[in-house]
Amino acid sequence: MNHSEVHDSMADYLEGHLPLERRALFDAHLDDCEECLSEIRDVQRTITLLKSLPEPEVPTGFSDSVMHRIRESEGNSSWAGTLGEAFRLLISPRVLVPASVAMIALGIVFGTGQVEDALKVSDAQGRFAYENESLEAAALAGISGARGSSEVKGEDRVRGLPSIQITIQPNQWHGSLPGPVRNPAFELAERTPVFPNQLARDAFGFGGSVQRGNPSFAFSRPSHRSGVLQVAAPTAKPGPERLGAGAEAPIQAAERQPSADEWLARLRDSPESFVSLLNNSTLAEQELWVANLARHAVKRGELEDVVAALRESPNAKANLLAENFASVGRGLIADRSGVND
Amino acid sequence: MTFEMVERGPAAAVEPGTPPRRRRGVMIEDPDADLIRRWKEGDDSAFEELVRRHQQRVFGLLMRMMGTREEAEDVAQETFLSLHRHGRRFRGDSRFSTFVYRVAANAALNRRRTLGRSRARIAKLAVRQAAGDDLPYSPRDPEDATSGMELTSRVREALQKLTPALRMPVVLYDIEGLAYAEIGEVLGIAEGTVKSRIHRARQALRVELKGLLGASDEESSL
Repeated sequence: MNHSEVHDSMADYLEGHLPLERRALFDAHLDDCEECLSEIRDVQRTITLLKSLPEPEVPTGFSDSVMHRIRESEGNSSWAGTLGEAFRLLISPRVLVPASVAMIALGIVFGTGQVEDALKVSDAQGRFAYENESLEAAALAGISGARGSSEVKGEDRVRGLPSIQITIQPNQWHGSLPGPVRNPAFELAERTPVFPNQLARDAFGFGGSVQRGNPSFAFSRPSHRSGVLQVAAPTAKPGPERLGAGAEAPIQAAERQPSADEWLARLRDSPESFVSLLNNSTLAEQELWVANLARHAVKRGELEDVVAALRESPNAKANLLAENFASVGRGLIADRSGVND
Repeated sequence: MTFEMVERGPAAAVEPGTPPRRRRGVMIEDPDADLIRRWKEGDDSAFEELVRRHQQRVFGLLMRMMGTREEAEDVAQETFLSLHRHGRRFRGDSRFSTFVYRVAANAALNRRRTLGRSRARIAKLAVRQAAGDDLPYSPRDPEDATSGMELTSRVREALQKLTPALRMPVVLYDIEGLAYAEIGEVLGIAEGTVKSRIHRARQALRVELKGLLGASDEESSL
């Protein structure tokens, strides 16, 4: 048996799986080869060391913690399931068809005169408003029995891109969703700060939000008196002045979501609290946080500060996070310079 | 057809009167069968019992794979949450413990990929561990240099320097005591590949621990 064969058979030899005849050949080689003997002794000692590693102690209350998280997630999914069921019921033909017929009938009865009377063109710049209080706010929102008003305001939006805002009175419906709030990472991910719509500011002290791209809906968080549903047309990105205007709006709502800048400041000033926040997020959400905050930090030129703050933290996870930020940030910077080139 | 018992791993308890399942010539009696049945019927306390029964193995494997208690605990929790979400689909083709290991191994590898852990980071972690930042057993006193704590610390450090592809099989075989075939099932690789990776991992560890092996009092029983 030569060196190569000894190498190939070493695992089986150590496990005692080598047939007797081959084992004898193996032993004969070891008798004559100090190098192989030394190697096989070392490997055997290595295995002994591995086996001697103490068994790690499972964290106290581990199973309780797992079960707690399972119950939490089941609660969330049952809520989502109920909502899904309700939505499916709402769009099912047995509800949708009679509702549509009723709406058409209402349109025939009232549409001829009253709606036209209600529609008043205020000025020549295309600004106009619906003033019928019981107008089709409910119809637009798909809610029966809601009282409300709606208006189209051209002046607060990017020129030529109107928005429709529906205000629904709380005694009928709060316009907010029950259960957990939307994930902050999601909010941060694609949120485009919305133009300071006057009515939204009046009601909440800050603008709502819309998803970039296709027309979409966003509900403001349950606030004091009423909910606001915004129906936004696809819009161009708001300019910086719009962001500024939004930031200056008086903040009345206690549950306002922090802006990206504020998240960045929080991350810089208190990495530990940010890490504990991340611990409550799923893996995908954590990725999203890092990707978006790194992008924002690069944009603001604060990446180095953020990475330094995380590295200096005594929290080991914050240290690991620093490398993630550095890595993502470097990638973004490289992408940018590539584009610039 | 002949059957052979699984060579290693936790001994399977055989309930009288229960016919064994057969798969690829391996006779499997799953000690978790009753708990799995109850869990599939909606009894969450049965799942809790499964967590208690397997948490030590999962946490042990993940401690070796992730390197720190914090990350190991995170990934262990993800493992059991994932099991709860998808585990009812478990059809019993393998033992439940193998299935649990598979989920844990995937969770560990996914976490490492997600975090984009680079070699530099591993080296950094190893340096920190050597300095005693993360490991409760790392010696700070020079007098501990020859103690068992030093050995433990050095072996952990050496393990962390292996690539996950080499570390996982050697941990599962030499520390967790799984059979080659079971490791192949867990990792989705051929048994021959398992053996070859274990051999390469041991060789790498031997080089890494060279000084320690020379100084060790452990004697070969060759």
